[in-house]
Amino acid sequence: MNMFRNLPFQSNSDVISLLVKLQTVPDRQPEQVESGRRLFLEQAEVYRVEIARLDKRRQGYKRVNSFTRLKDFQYIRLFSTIMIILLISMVGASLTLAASQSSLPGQAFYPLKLWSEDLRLNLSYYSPASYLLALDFSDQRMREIEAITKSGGVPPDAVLVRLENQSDLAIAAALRLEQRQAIMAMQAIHNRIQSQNQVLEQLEQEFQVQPQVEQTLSRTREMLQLRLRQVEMYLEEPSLFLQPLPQVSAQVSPGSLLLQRSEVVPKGTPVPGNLPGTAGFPAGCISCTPGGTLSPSTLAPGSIRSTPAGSQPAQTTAGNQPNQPGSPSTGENQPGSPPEAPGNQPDKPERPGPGGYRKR
Amino acid sequence: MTSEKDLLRKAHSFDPDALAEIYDSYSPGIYRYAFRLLGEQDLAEECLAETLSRFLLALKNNGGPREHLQAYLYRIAHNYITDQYRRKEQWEHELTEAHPDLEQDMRASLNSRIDENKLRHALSCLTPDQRQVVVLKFIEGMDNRAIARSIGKPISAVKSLQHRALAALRRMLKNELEEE
Repeated sequence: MNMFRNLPFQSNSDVISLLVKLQTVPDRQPEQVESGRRLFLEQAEVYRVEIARLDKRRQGYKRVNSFTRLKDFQYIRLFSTIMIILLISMVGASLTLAASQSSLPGQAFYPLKLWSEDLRLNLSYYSPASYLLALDFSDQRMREIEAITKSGGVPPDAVLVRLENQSDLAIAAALRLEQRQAIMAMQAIHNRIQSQNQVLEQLEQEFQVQPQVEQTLSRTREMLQLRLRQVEMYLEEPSLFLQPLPQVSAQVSPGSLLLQRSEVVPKGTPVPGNLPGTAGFPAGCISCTPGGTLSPSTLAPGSIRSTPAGSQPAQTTAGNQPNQPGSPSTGENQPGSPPEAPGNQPDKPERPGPGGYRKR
Repeated sequence: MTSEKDLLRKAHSFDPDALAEIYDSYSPGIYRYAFRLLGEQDLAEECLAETLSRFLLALKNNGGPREHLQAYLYRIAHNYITDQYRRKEQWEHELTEAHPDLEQDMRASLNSRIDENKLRHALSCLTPDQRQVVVLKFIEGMDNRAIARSIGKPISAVKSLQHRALAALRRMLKNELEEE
């Protein structure tokens, strides 16, 4: 306690003189210095290795990551561009298609409308409700005929051909169904064709149409009545339609049905006696024929041909028409038939397989 | 000898030569500083090792000083010593009780150690900034500018801290003397 006793601690210098005494520090042991230095440098080396490894990994990650990001960005940009183009195309196509649905023959979008109908018919070929689609399209044709007639024009042959073809497609689609469903479908087709027929009758009665238009309408009515008769025959005796049915093409060239006047009902084709305008056959006998037995192929859609454009339409019922020489019993084009217009091709089976045959 | 900035730049890349130079240059001062405040060689060695280890860790984490390495190391050591003071409140009395029967010739030396420990105890009662200023100024012999860099305060604050620290020490040591 000497140190404390000797100092009065009256000023800071007393304290400082005491603090100076703390400056005396014993020397470090050399081995401790060496040991501390070695440990310090070893720790530094460990950290250096760790940092080098981390730097290497970080650089690799940066390189890969930047490359991946660049590639991703390029892919995303390309994908986005493609998607935008597709989207714009789809929206544009949809709008055009929607606008084309109200178009009439001769207008710019009308071919697009027909194309879309054909596409839908082809896509729904195996669908049980494809007959309904075909009927809807035939209704569309009727509306077109009605609109053109009311506006004082002459319905083009192409419209009539499509109407005929779509009616045939509806019947063919109904025949592909099971019997119970087919009967219901035939009833629906019958009703629809009847309505169409009534529309035509009304048109003829209400409007004083030109002779050319009247001729066209009559021909159309005749065609519809033939389909009506076919359907009625089926409804009378569905079991007769057991044999393979000919194919009906969705693409019937315009004029193919109008330029060739074959027999509406070929020789040997039975006509129900209870139908109006079917005189010459015993009443109630739908299968007995003067010339042979009932052939479903003669009743099938597509086997019926109308008169060519400009010729006289059939005034009597189709079943009472005499056979013309050289005309085939199946209704297909044969040598000796009137010359065909360009693009007039005989109907060819387009779809093999289940659609052409009725299996029970 | 490379400049301090070059030395630190190399130290950041863990250059062994630079780190060895740092150890050789700064470890004696840190050791002395620690010993003067802690009063024991083992504690001073521990303080030195901890200070340099924290320095390396800061370098590894891309931290550490870009200049004024000495001030940085003293700050680390000072924080460590402050922690030690908080942990050992009665350390200065243990020595007195541990050696009751020493011979007369050793008693003088022991009394001197006891006085030093009392002084260290008085130092430990100062605030950390006051203690650091007093030690750096009157024990380590640093000027006010270097102290200001070391504690991160202006020179005027260093002077003020120094004045208040001396006054506090004087008061505490006087009380100690009166109690005896």
